[in-house]
Amino acid sequence: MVKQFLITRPRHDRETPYLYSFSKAIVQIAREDKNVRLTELYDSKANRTEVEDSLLSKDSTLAFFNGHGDEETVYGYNDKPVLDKENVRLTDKKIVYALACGSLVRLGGLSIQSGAQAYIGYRDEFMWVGDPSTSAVPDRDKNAAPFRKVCHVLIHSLFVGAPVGKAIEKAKEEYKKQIRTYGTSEDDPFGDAAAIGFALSWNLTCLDMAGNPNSAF
Amino acid sequence: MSEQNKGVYEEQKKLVLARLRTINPESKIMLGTKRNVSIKELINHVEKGDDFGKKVIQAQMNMLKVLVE
Repeated sequence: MVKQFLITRPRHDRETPYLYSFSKAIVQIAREDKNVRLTELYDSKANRTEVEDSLLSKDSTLAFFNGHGDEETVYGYNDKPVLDKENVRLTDKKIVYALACGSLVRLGGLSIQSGAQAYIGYRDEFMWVGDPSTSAVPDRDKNAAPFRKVCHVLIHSLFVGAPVGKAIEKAKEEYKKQIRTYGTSEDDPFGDAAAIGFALSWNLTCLDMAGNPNSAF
Repeated sequence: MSEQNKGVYEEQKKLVLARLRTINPESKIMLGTKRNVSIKELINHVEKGDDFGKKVIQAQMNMLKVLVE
């Protein structure tokens, strides 16, 4: 059975290039996987029409949304909504992971009510720390590295077919590992290490899921 | 909030403020909601005890739990 990996990757402001950067590795892995049909909606293609067309597929789908978000909406290119209460029914039978602020609070529940197998997301804002001197080049931003790592651990676990609950556990363990690395300012009193530790612990607190933890891609 | 819970909250608040004050106050955290928040601003939220400040306390306490695990 063909499986579809749908990913939105808008890149249009100061924040979205970081999320775009965080998902580079999984896109490369998906491109090389002959058993998966990759639907990559990047930049202006990360729009509502393209998302809806892709979600209409009957194939088993893992939908990975990257972008801004709030409790009821996930946004795409130029902050136009791509998933909200008007089209969330299209997530029926699918596994959704939204790397976006807050959407698990309401949209996650609506997605499950619409028949989605699972909705993974954040209950509040998603945080990270960027190095201001390299903010134009997220790929090379060392402060963002631990956030990139955790995001990759989660989506990679989902991509290779781990049950959603296990994938989240693995991501939370990675958050804890990174917190132990960055969680103290003792060795870095004037740097960003402790701020990174704080943002990691915030994300650890907010990452969660709705739906069936045993569902898998 | 009961007196006991209030006492625990105040102790946690003191602990979190003490920790936050050891961090470079100009360090900035990026939020997916298109804003940045500095450590100095986090301290202000915790001191005020607003909703965001309460969440900051919770996240810091979770961090401490991880560090002592």
